[in-house]
Amino acid sequence: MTDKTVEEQLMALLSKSLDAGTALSPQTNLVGDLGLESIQVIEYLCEVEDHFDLAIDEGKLADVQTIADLACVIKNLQRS
Amino acid sequence: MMKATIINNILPLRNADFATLVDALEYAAQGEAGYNFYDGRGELFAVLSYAELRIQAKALARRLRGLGCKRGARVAIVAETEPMFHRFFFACQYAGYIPVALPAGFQLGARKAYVEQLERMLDSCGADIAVAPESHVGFLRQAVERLNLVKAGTPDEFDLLPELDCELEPLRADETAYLQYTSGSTRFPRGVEISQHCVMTNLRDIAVHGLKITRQDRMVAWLPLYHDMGLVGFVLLPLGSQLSADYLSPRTFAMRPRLWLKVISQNRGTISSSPPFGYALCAKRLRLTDQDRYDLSSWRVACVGAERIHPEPLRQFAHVLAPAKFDPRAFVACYGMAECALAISFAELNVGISSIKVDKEIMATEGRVQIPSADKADKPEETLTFVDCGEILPSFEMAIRDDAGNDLPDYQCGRICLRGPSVMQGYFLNPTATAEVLSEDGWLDTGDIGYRVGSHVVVTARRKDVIIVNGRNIWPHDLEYVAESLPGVRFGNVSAFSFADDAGTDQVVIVVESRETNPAKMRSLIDELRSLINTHFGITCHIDLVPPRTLPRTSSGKLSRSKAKQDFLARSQNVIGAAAAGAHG
Repeated sequence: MTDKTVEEQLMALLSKSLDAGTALSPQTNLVGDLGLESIQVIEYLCEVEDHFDLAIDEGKLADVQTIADLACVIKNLQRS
Repeated sequence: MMKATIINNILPLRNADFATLVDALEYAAQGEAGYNFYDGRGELFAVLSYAELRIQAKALARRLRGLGCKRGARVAIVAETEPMFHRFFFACQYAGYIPVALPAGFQLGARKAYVEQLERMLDSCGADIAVAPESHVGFLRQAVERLNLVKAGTPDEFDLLPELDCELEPLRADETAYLQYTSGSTRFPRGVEISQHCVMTNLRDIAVHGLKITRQDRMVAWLPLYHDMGLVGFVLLPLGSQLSADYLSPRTFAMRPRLWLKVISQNRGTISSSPPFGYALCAKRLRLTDQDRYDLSSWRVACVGAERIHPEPLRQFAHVLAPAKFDPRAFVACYGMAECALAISFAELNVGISSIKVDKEIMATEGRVQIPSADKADKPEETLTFVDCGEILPSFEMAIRDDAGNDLPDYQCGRICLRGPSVMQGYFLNPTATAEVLSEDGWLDTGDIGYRVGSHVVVTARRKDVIIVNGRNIWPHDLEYVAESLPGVRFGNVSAFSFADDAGTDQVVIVVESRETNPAKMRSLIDELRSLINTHFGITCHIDLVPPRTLPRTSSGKLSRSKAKQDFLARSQNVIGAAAAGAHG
């Protein structure tokens, strides 16, 4: 699976819970740009975990700002 | 295969009639009950019986003692829902140290805010030792950089320390049992100091009078262990009555609320609590086909507390889970706070939520309970609904007071004040904050507003200014502080508050004075501020930019939040009915 694919999958999952037409890129800041509330973030992470079938360590989340950051966490988990 | 601890402990039930937490553990360790930990998929991943906890805590106590700290040293524990929390908490009890539970954050992108919060808490309690699970130790290490701790690290690092060959002297009844950070301001954290006698009195009151615990009980929780409801209600209470307890982490619950129901169902849980938002979240996120997979008939006490209770989301929860045999009479409204260890009152068991409708206009103008006249009773815009939080636990004295300190009669709203052995010793190392709420003759001013009916209390507004979003308390001070950090916003020119919308949900508003008149620049200031607030607090808010000198000030020049809120509501088109009542509190 290439890098691009993980990011695209993340964006596809995310666009479901956003207004239609919201522009997303790997550099989109999940909290700052999209204004997601914590509970929406959690719902999104839940979908991400289910989709990739893995569990994201809570401690990793504090450093996640962008879609690319999240993709990086997921790729590390997939490798390990 | 791992097996959860049992329900029917053969050990004779003692409902927290112990002098100290160590006495309670020594007794519980003779039986077979204990703590069970479930992971993000709802699978059991760790079991810690009271017997095993006693052995491990004593060994760890000797290791901590080897660090050479003085009696009463503070040990900060980043409180993930893992056995290490229990182990360190009780090691402190045996070692004569004071445990302090710190929050385990999981907000996206919040490293800086979280590290700063940890640092302020460690500093304000004068922590000597700090421990965090592997997942959080990076933040902890960063937070202690500028502090002077004896040791900070992971549980494994502590396990490598040598055991000191010494006679352990557990904390005595007159000594502090733990410090508990209130869910108050994160900017100015206050550690509630609770003595052994204080917490044991509250546990006994809860077990005997509040929950009427029997040997058939089993507790289930997803609450954070750094909050009073999690720590006292679901770590110390089951221990005090030798019950088994089952845990999910708060994050597991937030992601997959159905796992809460699954654990209760499969383990025949009888007691489980949540703030109202937990029931609402669960009802909202259940798949429609899920309900009959659970059997919730064992759930006899579903406590509801920690914020003002609105009956509607609870009705919704009960409705959705009727096929799973959830009994709405299991709902028990309760009232409590960390300053009283945990609980102050419990509604009667087995009757469900009991609410009262009052005349909104009279409540708003006179603070008095008046049953609405027949023509008003059916109009939601003319009435307010409050929930009876039940009878005050027997060790408390209660007074409802006006702002001048006079006692008020039944059915008249005022500040809820309490006195008794379950009231805290004070805010740790903070005499100023203590003196603000605790009088010399032992009365605690809770800051909550409510009225009494005999020995029953009805809470009408919690903590004058606090904003509650999805069960999290957010203090206006903290919002204002963050807003003021933005270039272009001056200190003291910001006012944050919330109002309840038609659904009873708190909407957050920040009014900011600005000289900016260029619409594009105003727009970008608003966007920047919204994004900043979201990063720090995980909430969305409404930003109201106003010209300088718009915000109302008192004669001493202090901003008046209640007046700012009135002005805002008058300015904005949508006049929110409930706001009038909220403003009264």
